[in-house]
Amino acid sequence: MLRVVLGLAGALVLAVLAAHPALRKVERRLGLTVLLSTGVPFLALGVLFRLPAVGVLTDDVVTDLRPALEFGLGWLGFVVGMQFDVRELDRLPDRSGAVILAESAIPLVVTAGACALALVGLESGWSLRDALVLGACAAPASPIAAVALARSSGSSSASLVARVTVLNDVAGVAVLGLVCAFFRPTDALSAWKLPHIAWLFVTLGMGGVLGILTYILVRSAKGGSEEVAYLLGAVALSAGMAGYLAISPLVACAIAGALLTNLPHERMNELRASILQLERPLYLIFLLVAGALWDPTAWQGWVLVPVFVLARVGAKVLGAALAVRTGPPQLPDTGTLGIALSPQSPIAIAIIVSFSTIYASGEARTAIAWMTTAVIGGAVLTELGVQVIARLRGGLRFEDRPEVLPS
Amino acid sequence: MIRAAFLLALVVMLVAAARSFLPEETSLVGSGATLAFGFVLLAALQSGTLFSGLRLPRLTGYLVCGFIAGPSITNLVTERMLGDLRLVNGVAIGLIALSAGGELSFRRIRGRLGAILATGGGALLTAVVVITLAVLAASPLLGFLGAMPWSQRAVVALTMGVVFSALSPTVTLALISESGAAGPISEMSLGIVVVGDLVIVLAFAAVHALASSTFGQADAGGLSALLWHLFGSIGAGVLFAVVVLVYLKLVNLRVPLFVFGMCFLCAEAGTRLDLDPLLVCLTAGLFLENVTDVQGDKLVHEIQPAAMPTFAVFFAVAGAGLHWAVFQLVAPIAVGLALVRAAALYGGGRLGMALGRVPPAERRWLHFAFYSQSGVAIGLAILLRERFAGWGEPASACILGGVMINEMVGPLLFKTALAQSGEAGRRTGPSAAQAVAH
Repeated sequence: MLRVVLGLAGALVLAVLAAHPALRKVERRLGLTVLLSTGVPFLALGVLFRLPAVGVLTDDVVTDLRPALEFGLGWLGFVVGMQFDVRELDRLPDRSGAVILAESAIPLVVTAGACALALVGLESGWSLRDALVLGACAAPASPIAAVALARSSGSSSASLVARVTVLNDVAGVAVLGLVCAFFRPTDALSAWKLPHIAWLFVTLGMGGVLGILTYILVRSAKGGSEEVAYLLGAVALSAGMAGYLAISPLVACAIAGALLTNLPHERMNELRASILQLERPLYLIFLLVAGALWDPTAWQGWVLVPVFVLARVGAKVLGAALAVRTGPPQLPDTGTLGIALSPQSPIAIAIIVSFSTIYASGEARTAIAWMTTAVIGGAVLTELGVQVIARLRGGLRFEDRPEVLPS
Repeated sequence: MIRAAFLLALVVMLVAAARSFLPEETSLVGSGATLAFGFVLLAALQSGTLFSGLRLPRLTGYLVCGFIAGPSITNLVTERMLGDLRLVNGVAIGLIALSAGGELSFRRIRGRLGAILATGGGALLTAVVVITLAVLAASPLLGFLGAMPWSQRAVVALTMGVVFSALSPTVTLALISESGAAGPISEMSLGIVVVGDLVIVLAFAAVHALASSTFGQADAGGLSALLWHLFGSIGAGVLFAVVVLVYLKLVNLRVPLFVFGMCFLCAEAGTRLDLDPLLVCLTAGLFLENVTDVQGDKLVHEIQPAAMPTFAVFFAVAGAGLHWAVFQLVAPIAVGLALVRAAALYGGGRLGMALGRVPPAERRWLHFAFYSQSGVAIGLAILLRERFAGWGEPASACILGGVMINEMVGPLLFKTALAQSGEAGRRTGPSAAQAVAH
């Protein structure tokens, strides 16, 4: 037991240290995203801790940590939702919708199709649900460091690319919400007998009510400590309620966060800062538990990795080509846009983990383990590939044009 | 208050709706605990606001909220969820002890040390003796004692006397903070309950050894275990303080999260190593405040964001853990025990105050700090139930019944005393664990 406690305490200390601003500076200098710099080590740590010889994350401990996992998913959901500011959408240049659609829908459809075929080939059987979720994991993109750098120097095209990635995250989460509504895992168990479309309303309604609840709570807070306490309570309640109803906490909390961010509040920036301040340590602890839940031993999962990566990156480049042709003139060239939008967002891992916590039981467990390997392995492989290609191209260049979007 | 009532109603309705989704006997791993945590935290904070509006302690609001939401009344928070939330308890006890230690400056109370020892000693000694005699006198009425020979009855009575005499640093610190109180009564109260708690923990280890030998049970080590428990905890506390000190000097980033993690480690590892997490964290707080250049009250101020939700959940979970069914069974005995304890603490306390030359104006209010009970008494009573088959369970039920009364009544009395003495609202600057008071 002492080993467990010391292991977890060590992981907590590492998570706090890994969120140190100095490390973020190093990340930026090396052009890495959070996934490669600290995310992969924490995933690996989770896998390592799970090994019987190490014995830190035993079955009992993983079960005990499930609330932390749900809470982490809820927190990430709030982070995603709070980026969905309608006022900023209004300020996007004309025809930006085409970019968002191309970069979300094409990767979603292509990856879902390719992975469905691969799953059939692996004798897992055809499942629309699984294919859709892999598609949902393909949509979110994480802007590479070059985008952040160019954006900070006032590049409007980098700014547009960064906003597109935010909306790609939202698209992925929305698809997961649809999957949770239309493929109910607990119909036999639950006391509620609702048609599937009603679950969509339940999801939206619950997220909306929880968003309003959070809003009233944070408005009534008298100081920072109270605000954090209310925020913790609201996230836990939202994540717990969603999980209890077998809806993804990521989805319910994203809806709540989106509503919260679009309501008037004079301390909204401070609130966002409070949420973002804990995002990194929570995400790393979340990855630790995700690593423990992940079973990377099945070869089928690794076969799925190249299929997922090729389909996704190919679709992102295709989407970029279409976007450049139909989108606003601020966009960079096809190659730059394709590479910039290829790295996988951490939200993709959150989506697959959330999906597996709801659906991984019985026969579905095997296929979901392969899917998890595909998404995690795919994220790492894509990131490495993009780093190499970007360096071979001598970095990514974003033209400096007059600022269209607020920085 | 209207906003708090609305929010409380909304949260209750949401959780009641969610709980209706699955049959009563079905429970989900993870989600149940997350839901319970969120619900208990938000409902407790709103209840605290409502109670504060009624000029009652917020802490009583947390307790009442937990009691009503718990398995005894509405079962919105089930026994299983409560079990999952006990993890928070260990952390909360650690944070509270760390805050209490960090607030207790020996430099400040040096002149009052004699008065603190005399008052605390007088109150506790009298309470242990009087409760022991009362249990012995009532033993023909207590079924589980009736068949025992007198020697065994005496040991059981003494054990109950020690456990039921426990004071409550958690409640005292929480109420001082909530009231924004400062002054001699606040300082002496805190000193007395902290020292008293140490004495009770030690005394329990001694009577536990005595009871084990009397009832022919193995006593896991006897004196050596006691010494390890005491000095091991103190040593671990110093180590804890050094780690926090190094972190503050070298990193000093996200301090609340770090301290929260350390308290979690302390609670989990301490229990496995037979150390007392409360003593470990108390020592750490005292060490940081009195030996290092870290100002304890500033550290306490720093950890507020982590402490506030933890404290609210801790007291609400304590309230939810109160079993109405058990209380109904032992109500007359519990009421009797609570009255005897109060009388003994009052009498012994007044005697100690006279011996310690406490000024008359302070004597009038100081004893009100003694009546509350919470974590330590509950923890020891549960330990009694687990360790001694046969008499442990009914003895524990009687004690818990009494604790339930003291837990509800004690904070009301002490808050009133702080207000009447004029110390409430006198504090300026960062307060001790304003987390509870917010």
